[in-house]
Amino acid sequence: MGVEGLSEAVSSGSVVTQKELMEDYGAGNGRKGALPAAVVFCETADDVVGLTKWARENGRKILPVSSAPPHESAVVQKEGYVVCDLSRMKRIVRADRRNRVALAEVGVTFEELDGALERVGLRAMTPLAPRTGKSVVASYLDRTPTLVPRAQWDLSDPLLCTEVIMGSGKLFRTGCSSGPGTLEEQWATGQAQKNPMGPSAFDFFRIVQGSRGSMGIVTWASMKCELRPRVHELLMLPSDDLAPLIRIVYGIAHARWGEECLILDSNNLTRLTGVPGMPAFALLVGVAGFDYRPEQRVSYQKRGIEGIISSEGARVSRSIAGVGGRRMLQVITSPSDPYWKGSPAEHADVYFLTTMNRAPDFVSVIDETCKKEKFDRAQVGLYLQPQLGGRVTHFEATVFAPREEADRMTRALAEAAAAKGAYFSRPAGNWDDLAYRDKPLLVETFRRTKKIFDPDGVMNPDVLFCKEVV
Amino acid sequence: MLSDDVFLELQGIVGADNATREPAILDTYAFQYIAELIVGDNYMGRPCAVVMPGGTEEVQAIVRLCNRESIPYKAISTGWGAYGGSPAPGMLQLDLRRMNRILQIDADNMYAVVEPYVVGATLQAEAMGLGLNCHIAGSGANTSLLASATSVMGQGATGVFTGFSNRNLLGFEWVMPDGELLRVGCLQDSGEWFTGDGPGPSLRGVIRGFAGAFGGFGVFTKCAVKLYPWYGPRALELTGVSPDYEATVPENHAVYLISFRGWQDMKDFGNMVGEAEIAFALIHTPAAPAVVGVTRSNKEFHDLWKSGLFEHMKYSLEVVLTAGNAEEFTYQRDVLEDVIKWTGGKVALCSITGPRYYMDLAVALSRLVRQAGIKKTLRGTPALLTYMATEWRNGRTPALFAKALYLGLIKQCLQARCVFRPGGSFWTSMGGLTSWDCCIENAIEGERIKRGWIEKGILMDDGAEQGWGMLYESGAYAHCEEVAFYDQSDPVCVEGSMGYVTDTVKATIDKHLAMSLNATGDPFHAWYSPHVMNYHHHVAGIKEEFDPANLSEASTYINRGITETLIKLIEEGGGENLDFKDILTLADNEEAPAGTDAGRPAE
Ligand SMILES: Cc1cc2nc3c(=O)[nH]c(=O)nc-3n(C[C@H](O)[C@H](O)[C@H](O)COP(=O)(O)OP(=O)(O)OC[C@H]3O[C@@H](n4cnc5c(N)ncnc54)[C@H](O)[C@@H]3O)c2cc1C
Repeated sequence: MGVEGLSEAVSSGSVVTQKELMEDYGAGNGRKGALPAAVVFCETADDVVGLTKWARENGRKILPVSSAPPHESAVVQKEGYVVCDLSRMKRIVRADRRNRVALAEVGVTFEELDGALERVGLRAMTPLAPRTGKSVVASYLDRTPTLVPRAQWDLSDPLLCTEVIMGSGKLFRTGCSSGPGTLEEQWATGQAQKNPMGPSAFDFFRIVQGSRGSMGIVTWASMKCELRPRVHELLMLPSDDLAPLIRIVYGIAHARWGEECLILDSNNLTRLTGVPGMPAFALLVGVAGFDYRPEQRVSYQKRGIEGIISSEGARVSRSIAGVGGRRMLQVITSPSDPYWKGSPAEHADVYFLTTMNRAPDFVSVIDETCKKEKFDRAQVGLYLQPQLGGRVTHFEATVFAPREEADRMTRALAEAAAAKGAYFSRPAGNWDDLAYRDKPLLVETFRRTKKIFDPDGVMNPDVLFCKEVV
Repeated sequence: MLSDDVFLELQGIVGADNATREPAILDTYAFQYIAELIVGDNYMGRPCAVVMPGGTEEVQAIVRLCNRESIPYKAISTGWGAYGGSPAPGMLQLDLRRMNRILQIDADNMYAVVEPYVVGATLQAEAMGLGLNCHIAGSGANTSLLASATSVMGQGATGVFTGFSNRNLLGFEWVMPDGELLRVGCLQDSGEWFTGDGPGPSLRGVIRGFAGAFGGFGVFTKCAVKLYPWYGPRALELTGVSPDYEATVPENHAVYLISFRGWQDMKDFGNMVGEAEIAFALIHTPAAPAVVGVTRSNKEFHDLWKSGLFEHMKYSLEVVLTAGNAEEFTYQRDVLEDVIKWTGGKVALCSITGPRYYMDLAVALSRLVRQAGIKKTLRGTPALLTYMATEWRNGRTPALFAKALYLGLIKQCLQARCVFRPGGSFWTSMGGLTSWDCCIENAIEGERIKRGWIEKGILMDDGAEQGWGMLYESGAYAHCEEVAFYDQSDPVCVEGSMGYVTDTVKATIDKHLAMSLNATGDPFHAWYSPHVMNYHHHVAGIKEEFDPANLSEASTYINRGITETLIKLIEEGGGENLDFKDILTLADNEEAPAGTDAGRPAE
């Protein structure tokens, strides 16, 4: 398939069609998929608009990609796609201490953003040890869980306002960034693109978020940032048993104390730190003080959290398997290079939402499924991330195995978890279809929604709910 | 007119006792505040009938019938505003008051599942018994939580701790405009309600935005809302006699009224208290409603207010602290005192008194005198002394004001008194959700505009500044709306009030002060949309896709035809000179497709 007229359509972006340069995005490097017809490195929103219009006119489909390779989910599956690579859009437009907000283009990575935020006394909310090169905005657009449940008021956090190019080719801005006024005019009245809702009676950012590029392509986003801690410690609680840790997590959530709060199993702890001999589970809880009496804050919160812990007859450990709190904190919050899970060829994930009190049921599901599938349980890592102030838990199982075997297992695990009521809120991998099983009306509603904003089905139409649509 | 056959069918669905066509009853639904601003008298269009379904299946059956018979319909949960009705007669009103159960409180995971008629006061009382609390919108504890979460904005005084209704919505059950039932979120997978997002995109973004569809997009029959920790007693201890209740301020709680030198200090204070994460509430209650709140009659209010002294209390903020233990409370108080000091604040009222408080109070009072001038002070003093003597005789000490303020903020129970008593009715404008700094700019601009309309004798003299503003989510965003009182029985005031609304709308556009909370319904879309990425195309796209016959009554949501006609007219008429009232008239006259207001047959 030719790409005539594409270069003219994207004025500042560059168009690549050499096979070896396109392998990162589809079939190649042992991955299944198809080769894109072209990769367009967009530099501006105008490029994306141009590309979208071109795709509409030429009956092509667009897969947006924002992070550096290796691409995990943003992979071309079928013929006829053009990749819209936004990883060169790297401007950090604003890091606003007064409003605790950053506004950055989609190509900005966690390590890049952190530098800019540190200079003004802020920090970004990070997922668990993201891979280097991971786009911040792409991560937030995927509702990837972040480490501080207290700071998450909506599962959409920390994503705020966005600039989106719809499949119709229209450029739109969401939340209060939509106007009145340009960004500059809004800044002049003290605004900072802080409210993600609207404009008016729809939240387009919620429709785009979680859609894996099928509702529109985002070029920049504003995001909630938190104050950078002046004092920051990590409390670590090893345990052979999940039950007490769960009760402690609830205690902390109800007190609204602490920063980072997550549970990892021994396999993940070892993969993250490189240190063997880890406990079956460990609860990690950050405590921090900011610009207001930082020591006093840490002191009362620590005492409070330790009280909750001791009421379970447990005690905080200074180190686990020789890894101290400071190092562990560094490991979980920093981008990881090489990525702690290994390359996409070496692992696969299955994840879903549940509540913390149901986590033990799902641990049993993992144990039983491994037994049934004759898979070494020790090659599965578990990560439990409370979200939304502790109301919801992201349950993630990572299968560390060569890809084919890992895929077989994630499928089996997902099927077994689905039978127990797992909620696949972020469908991905080879289990994404489970999210929509037996939900014809929901699927139909999503498809009709897509049609409103992408009438020709240009935007990544082979993912998720719209798989057979076009 | 509803045919007898259809009415019988409706009775068959809900039971004969739960459907009526009795005009006197229908009119009680049509009688609404601000109706005079929308339709020119106190009654919205008279519905063709009112039905009270008892459950989701009945709602579905009604909506299907409406689709079959092309009858416009709209649901209300608690029915506090004109937006629950229609400007045109003939709509079928669903009154959901029989659906009044709290279905579940998941205390561990901090959420509750409610039916439409569960009001803030009911859920709050149950939740407090479990150490939890809910977000209650500023309409008060007597209004529906579900209506707020699914269909209407969601501003509320404790937002810094309990968020905003849009953001508190979890799973929900939705009778779509065509009568299909969609259960959104994790419900279908596990029967749980902890999220309404996904799988993949979130339909929360389709059913509502900052505003909601105001009944124009089907009927929501159940929803889950987030609960928040409550660090107080399992039930609030009340004293006093109705309607002047006070609550004992519990241990490790406190309430403050803090006076400032000016707006800039208030900006700094709000930003700092928000990010320090110490407050359960941070709110700017303007002076007039505050004085209304502490008086028992308009006469008493007038005696106090007429000197002009109290309007100078405008530079003030209220803060409530609620801590889980003494050590945390000490931290909150220490930080609050730091911030008060840094921003030049003085504590004018506090539930914790001590020698330092009285020193602060003296400074706050002298500041008030300086700002008001000696003349107003002298004029105001006798009325104040008389008021205080009466209060004292009735056993109310100054400390009781702190207790009343605390109760008002925790339970959201003084609303009706504060907004309806002084003028008979009120309008609110500006109030976009944005940064706290810009909210204060809204208050400044709102005051300037309103003063002009007070001087014209259209609006009640509330001192002009009546910004009701607060933080949300630890100060992540905020809102400050400009409230105005008017006499709804005086045609001159009614007519003129709309001029005030137009001016504030224009100011938010021209001065980039964030899109007003008024930005819903066609006339407002027509003003805003061309300045806000032409958003109306998309909202209308959603409405048309899911309700092509436009039967879910959308006068406070969107009708593309009307909005676009108005946009054109504004453009052609040089918009600047077109009055909001003119727009409404034009909207009424606009040819609209079947099922929309303008296209509906007269009764
Ligand atoms: C004095 C006063 C103060 C107010 N202050 C605030 C405020 O501070 N913040 C705020 O957010 N709002 C405020 N409001 C607006 C509104 O009243 C509130 O949002 C309230 O929470 C909703 O309660 P209601 O009784 O108005 O609801 P209802 O009248 O039941 O409904 C309000 C709207 O939602 C629709 N609706 C209700 N239930 C359903 C349903 N089940 N399915 C579909 N649509 C439905 C109705 O059609 C109507 O358009 C105020 C109103 C008044 C009168």
